[in-house]
Amino acid sequence: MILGLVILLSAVLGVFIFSYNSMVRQQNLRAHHEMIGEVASMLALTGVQLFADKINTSVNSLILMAVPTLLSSVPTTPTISLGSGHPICQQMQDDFDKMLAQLPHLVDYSVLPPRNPRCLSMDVSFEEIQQIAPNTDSTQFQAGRDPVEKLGEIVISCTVEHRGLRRKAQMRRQFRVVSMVPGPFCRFSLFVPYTPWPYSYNALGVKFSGQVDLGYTHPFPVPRTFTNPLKIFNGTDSYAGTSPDDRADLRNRGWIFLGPSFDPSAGGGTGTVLLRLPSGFDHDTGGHFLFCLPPNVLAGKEVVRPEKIEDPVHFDLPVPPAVASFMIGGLFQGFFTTDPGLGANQNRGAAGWNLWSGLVANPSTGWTPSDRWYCASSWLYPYGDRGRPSRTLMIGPVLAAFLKLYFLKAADNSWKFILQGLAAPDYNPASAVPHIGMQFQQLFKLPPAPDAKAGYTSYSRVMPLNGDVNPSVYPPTAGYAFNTLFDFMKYPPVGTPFPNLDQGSVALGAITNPFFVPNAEEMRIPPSGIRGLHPYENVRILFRETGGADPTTDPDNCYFAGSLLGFRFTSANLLRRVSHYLDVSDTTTPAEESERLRDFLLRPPLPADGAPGSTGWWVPKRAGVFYVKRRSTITSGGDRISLPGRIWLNKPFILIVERGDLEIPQKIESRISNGAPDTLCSLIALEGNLLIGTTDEIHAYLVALNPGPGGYGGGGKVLSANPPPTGSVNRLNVFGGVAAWEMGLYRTDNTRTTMGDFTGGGTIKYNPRFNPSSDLYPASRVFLMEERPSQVLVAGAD
Amino acid sequence: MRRGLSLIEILVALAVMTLALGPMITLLSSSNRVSNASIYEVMAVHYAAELAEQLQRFAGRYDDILTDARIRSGNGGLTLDALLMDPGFTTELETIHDETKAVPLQTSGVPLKVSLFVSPLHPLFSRRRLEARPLNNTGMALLNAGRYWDIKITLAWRLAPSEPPDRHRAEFSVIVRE
Repeated sequence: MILGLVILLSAVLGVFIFSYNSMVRQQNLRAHHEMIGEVASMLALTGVQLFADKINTSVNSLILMAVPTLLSSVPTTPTISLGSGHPICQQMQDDFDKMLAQLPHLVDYSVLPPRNPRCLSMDVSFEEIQQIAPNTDSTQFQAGRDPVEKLGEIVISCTVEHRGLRRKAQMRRQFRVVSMVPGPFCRFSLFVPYTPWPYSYNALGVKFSGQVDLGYTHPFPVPRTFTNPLKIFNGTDSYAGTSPDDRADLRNRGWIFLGPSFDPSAGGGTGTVLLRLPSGFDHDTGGHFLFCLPPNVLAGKEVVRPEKIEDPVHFDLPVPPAVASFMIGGLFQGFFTTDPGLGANQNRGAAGWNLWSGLVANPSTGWTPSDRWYCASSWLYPYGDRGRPSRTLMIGPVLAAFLKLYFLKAADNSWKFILQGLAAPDYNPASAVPHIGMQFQQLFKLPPAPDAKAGYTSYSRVMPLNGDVNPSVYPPTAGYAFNTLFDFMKYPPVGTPFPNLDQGSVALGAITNPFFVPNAEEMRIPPSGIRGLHPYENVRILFRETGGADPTTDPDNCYFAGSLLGFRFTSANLLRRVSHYLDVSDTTTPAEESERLRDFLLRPPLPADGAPGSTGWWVPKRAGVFYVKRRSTITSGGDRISLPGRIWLNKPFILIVERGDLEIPQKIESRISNGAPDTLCSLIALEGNLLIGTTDEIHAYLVALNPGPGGYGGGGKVLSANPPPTGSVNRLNVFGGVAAWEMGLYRTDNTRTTMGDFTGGGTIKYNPRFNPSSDLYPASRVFLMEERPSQVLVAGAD
Repeated sequence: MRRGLSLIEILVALAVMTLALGPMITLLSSSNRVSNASIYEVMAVHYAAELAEQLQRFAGRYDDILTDARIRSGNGGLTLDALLMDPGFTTELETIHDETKAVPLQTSGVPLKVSLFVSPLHPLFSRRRLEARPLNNTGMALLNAGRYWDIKITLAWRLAPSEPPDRHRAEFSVIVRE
């Protein structure tokens, strides 16, 4: 019996122990499987991570290969899925597989032949795709709208097998497709809505030859000498010889917007902007190339080809005694402050010729040294220089100021003389015109006037131009639109008459498509009466020439519609475009802020980055739209956050500083492709100023569009970080574009301005990659992923 | 005597019990060992997973980390393998402590800004180590730019103090791009 009990007890114990053992072994197997599964999971997650990293670091190239429509088309479906059979997914799978084959410690020797972990599949899908700016109302168009910009979620999956166990990792991240073109102002090489007074820009002294007159000191608002102009090159090419393509020039080049002037002395109303053309054919600074390039270019012998006036309606050109025939001609002339030919009076410049009464403050008392500024020419050269004339469209009430003299000349050059300018009160129709034995009323015959001023209407046709312009009135009532030079700059086809200035620009007037000229009709028949003047109040910027121009019927072809003057660059334009926020509001010093910005945005270059150097250079860590939040107490004009040094652009980015000033201490450089920087960078001081600390070229679009509070009378300016007269940074060189609230000098207010700081001028070259109307624009869109996944899942796989 | 247990019966019962219980006790002991082994394997998985997760989170930042390390150490040629296998850092990783700890990456004794958070190591674990090894990506179609590293995470432990310290080990891998 006891034996039975023992056997029974042993049997029961055996059952328990074997059960326990079995459970333990199962648990052990589970743990082992868990370990193998964890290895597989880690590898699957690695695969997902590498795929995401590849998409991120390739910026756009992988997306362009896999789903080009993501970057080029308006979203029509909320989901785009690339199966594991897609070539990109298969290539990624192959590459990852090759890496897994290099992990000897994970080889499974329990099977023959031994096996490495394997990647079984990779796939990607884009889900919940929606437009960033779905609205198509006027408010949206006033802010700018790219219908292709979108956001959604990217879902990347990877399946890995290790020792017979399969794990599938799936990662979801938000993505955005945003343009690296920050706004509608990028259609412009130069976008300056505010002009302090009509003559703001006319501060450069030039000699008759066109060389800069360093002896001229501009008196407003404080005496300073400008040593060079600021030249705007509106594209990467100049016009092609004698057969420029008007449409190509309008399509490819950056336009220019100069807003109306606000002359306080005129009661605060808006007025026009006068740009005085400089004299001469000097290669760098002469302005006569705007009228025409002389057919026979001999150094020192160049002259503006005269216009032969053939107008039998207004002029009677009899053959005087002893002269076979004579002609009446006109000659355009730029402004100059010094003419060595005037000898002791050379400092009177154009006023010393005694032809234009408007060049002295008080003609009755004569010229005084304080009148010199009337002969100063524009510091701003919107159309390049003689070496590279650069035609484009000028938007805004900008009048070209130039001089014109008239002469009578024998056909055989035996005699000639210049007609003197006469104001109406001084005009006596009975007086004899010198040399030709005729009275004024006979020579300037029609329309017949019964009054004592007979012939003056005709005579006024050859009066110096712009004599009756009132610049403090907008719309202007007289003068010539700057766009008239659009025609002049392709002149001359030798032997043809000058363009008719009264017609504005015939070339521009002939183009009716708003893609090329937004308000073509108003240019042809403007309410102001000044033909060629392009209004700024209701401008449209379109993507494609043939895509329709009405925002209500073709909203996806319209980038901007509204008033350029009313444009503000605010966070509302950006809200859903910003990819990264950097909050430095908890810092206490500018140095700390700048260090945080540097660490966030940039890193030292690696050899593979291709930077021109390693020491002192930085490269962007990532592409994106970065928004820097600063302390609410920050003001412009002292609280500056600074970039660290020279930056080599190998990834595009937009940097937006919420308030205060942003300093750019050194050059920013990109690789040049097709004549322009190929990597886009925009630097934006949202409420402050941009401070430039270098005369080296900056490959970026600079934006300071909002006149923020405090500082140098507010933000909205591009200023020198080290301005003259004590500092060395007096030239501004940008390859991209500039959009600033204001730029020109004030008359009496010594507020710092771009012009006041950059007395050495400089260059602004337009990068056509910023042009939303160009074929290059789609390439400005960048696929950006959130850095952190919103969801990571790992599960078993079939 | 007839009603009592015979000596033979007792002896047979003892023999049967011995024959039955001996293997069962051995089995029990073996089960316990196996059970312990699985417990440590699970612990190893936990230790490895927390490291792997953090290493993957650094993806895209390895350049920064290395740059910082190079600046701090003054060693411009510092590589990722040297950084992750820094003796000071490895020692810190393997030090037994009571609570979760942030172990900063370091080079030549200079700590970096970046740390790895690690759980307290069980006393029977003797190794928690990271080893980086460059991977060959020549000829790859997509993963051809940059330098790729296999970061091997090794955990080693023993089940009894009498065993060699790395009697049992588990190895995991994470691949990262520098």
